[in-house]
Amino acid sequence: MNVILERAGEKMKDYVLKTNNLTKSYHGVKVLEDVSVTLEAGKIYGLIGQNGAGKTTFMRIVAGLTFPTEGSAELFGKKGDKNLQYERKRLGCMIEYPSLIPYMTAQENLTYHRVIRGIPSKTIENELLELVGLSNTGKKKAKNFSLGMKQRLGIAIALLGEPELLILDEPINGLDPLGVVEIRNLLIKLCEERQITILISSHNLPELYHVATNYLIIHKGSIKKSITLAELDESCKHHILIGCDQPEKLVSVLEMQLGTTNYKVMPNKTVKLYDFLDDKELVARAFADNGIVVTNFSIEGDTLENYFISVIGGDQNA
Amino acid sequence: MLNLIQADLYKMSKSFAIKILFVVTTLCALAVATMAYLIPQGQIDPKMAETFFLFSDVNMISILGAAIASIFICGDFDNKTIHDAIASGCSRGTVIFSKTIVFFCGLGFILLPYAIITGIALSSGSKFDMGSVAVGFLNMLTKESGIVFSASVLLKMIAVALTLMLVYMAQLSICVPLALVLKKPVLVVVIYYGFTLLCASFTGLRSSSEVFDKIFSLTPYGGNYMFITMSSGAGDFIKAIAVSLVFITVMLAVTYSIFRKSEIK
Repeated sequence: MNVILERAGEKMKDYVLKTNNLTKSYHGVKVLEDVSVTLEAGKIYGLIGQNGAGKTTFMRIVAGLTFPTEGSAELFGKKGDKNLQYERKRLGCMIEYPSLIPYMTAQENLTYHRVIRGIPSKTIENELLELVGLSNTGKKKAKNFSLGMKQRLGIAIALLGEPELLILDEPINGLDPLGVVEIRNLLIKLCEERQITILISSHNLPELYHVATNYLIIHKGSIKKSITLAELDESCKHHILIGCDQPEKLVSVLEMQLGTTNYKVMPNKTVKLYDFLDDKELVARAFADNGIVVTNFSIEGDTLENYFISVIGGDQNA
Repeated sequence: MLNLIQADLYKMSKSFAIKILFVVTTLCALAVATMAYLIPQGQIDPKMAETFFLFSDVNMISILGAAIASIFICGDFDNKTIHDAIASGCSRGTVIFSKTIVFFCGLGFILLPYAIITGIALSSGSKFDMGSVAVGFLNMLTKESGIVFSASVLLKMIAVALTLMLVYMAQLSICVPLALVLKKPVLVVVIYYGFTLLCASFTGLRSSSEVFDKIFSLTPYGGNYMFITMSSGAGDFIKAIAVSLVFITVMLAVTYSIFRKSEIK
């Protein structure tokens, strides 16, 4: 019996957030539709979507700021309003704008949020200010902070209480290039060292590419794609896409004549060649010399931006 | 819940607005006490009492009390501190209750000058009179002036002051649902002030309809709860306290029923 319970517990620990057919409507208009995602521990999830795609609504439901019209959410294996409310003590959130009191200093803001969370240790305030690079703000009030400083303070507040799931909505908005790199490194460090799961939304897709280990592409309220970084890299990797009448012979030419095994035969018999991207002529000549009729010979591979556009249905939707 | 209350009290202590409101009520309390002192001496026309009623506790608290609700409840939506509390695992009921407690603490704080100045004025043994406009602490000042001070009188004065504060808190508890639902500071102040004027206009209706008077006396706006003095009997105190506590409970229940499943934008 105990073994069964332990195993059940282990299974629960596999994910920190699970949503089941989450739907949210406003006046009959669905802004989220049947969103079912599972967030595993220790990963950074990039939530990608256009304005109004439902990213913030999804985060707000998880944070308890709004309620789903249909479907349910599980946090750390627990479901039901009461349990979710309790489990939210393990969350750190910064949704839309940081929660700051304008007439307080950075440290006072942290004190306020620390007291709300019932954290007795005052030393955490200085540690977090140091961590986000705000230790020298002294008596400067939050209302006089730049947008970037406010974002940093918002992240510091979200990190109070060592959250297990960090929800950050556009956290790098307003940050200077150096700040972006610092926050990126901080998030990666938190994920690696403390096994914190991070759900992060951003319009800065190249930046998100540097941070996230998994991607959730949301469009018009629906999750269009859930993909890992490795899968994304695979999809986006630049290659020569070759279509021909004799794929077996083509593979033989690649290995015997061109001396490469860095290729992949796709189910539709096309071949993705990851070498010779700068020497296409050599490849083309080898095929011609061997009498292979090439039906397609093109450079393929995307950036995250292009991949996102292709997933949501082309430029017309972007 | 204690964490939320402690945090919000900390926030209030850092607020410049509450200090300004305290200075304003202190100056107003001094002004009305001076007027109440000068009128019976004949140095000021008694008709001026109506003008100086504007500075009385009942009038100032109608405006400044609603302002506190605006600053510390509506403001929390702007600052997103309510969002943060809920996202950190606090229940909505806890948020409502703690905000109400801190709101009442703020009210008590800005009413303190009226209570203290009334106490100091009464201990002087001088004559004070604000005529027919005397309500709340001003009424106590008018009715009890010249009283001989003793320990028991002081205790009774504290009891009157605390009861009056509770009645004020009950009256202003309507600002809690207003602030949490409307989220607009100006609307809360205007609606509440308009509501107090409406309640004041019911005086004629109360005298003409016994039924209305009885129903109205079940709220802190009715009855004679604002006219409690040291001469009032224990029954008056108990009724004022009971009506106030029940009304506050009803307001909290109304707020919870509205806020329980509402969007927090």
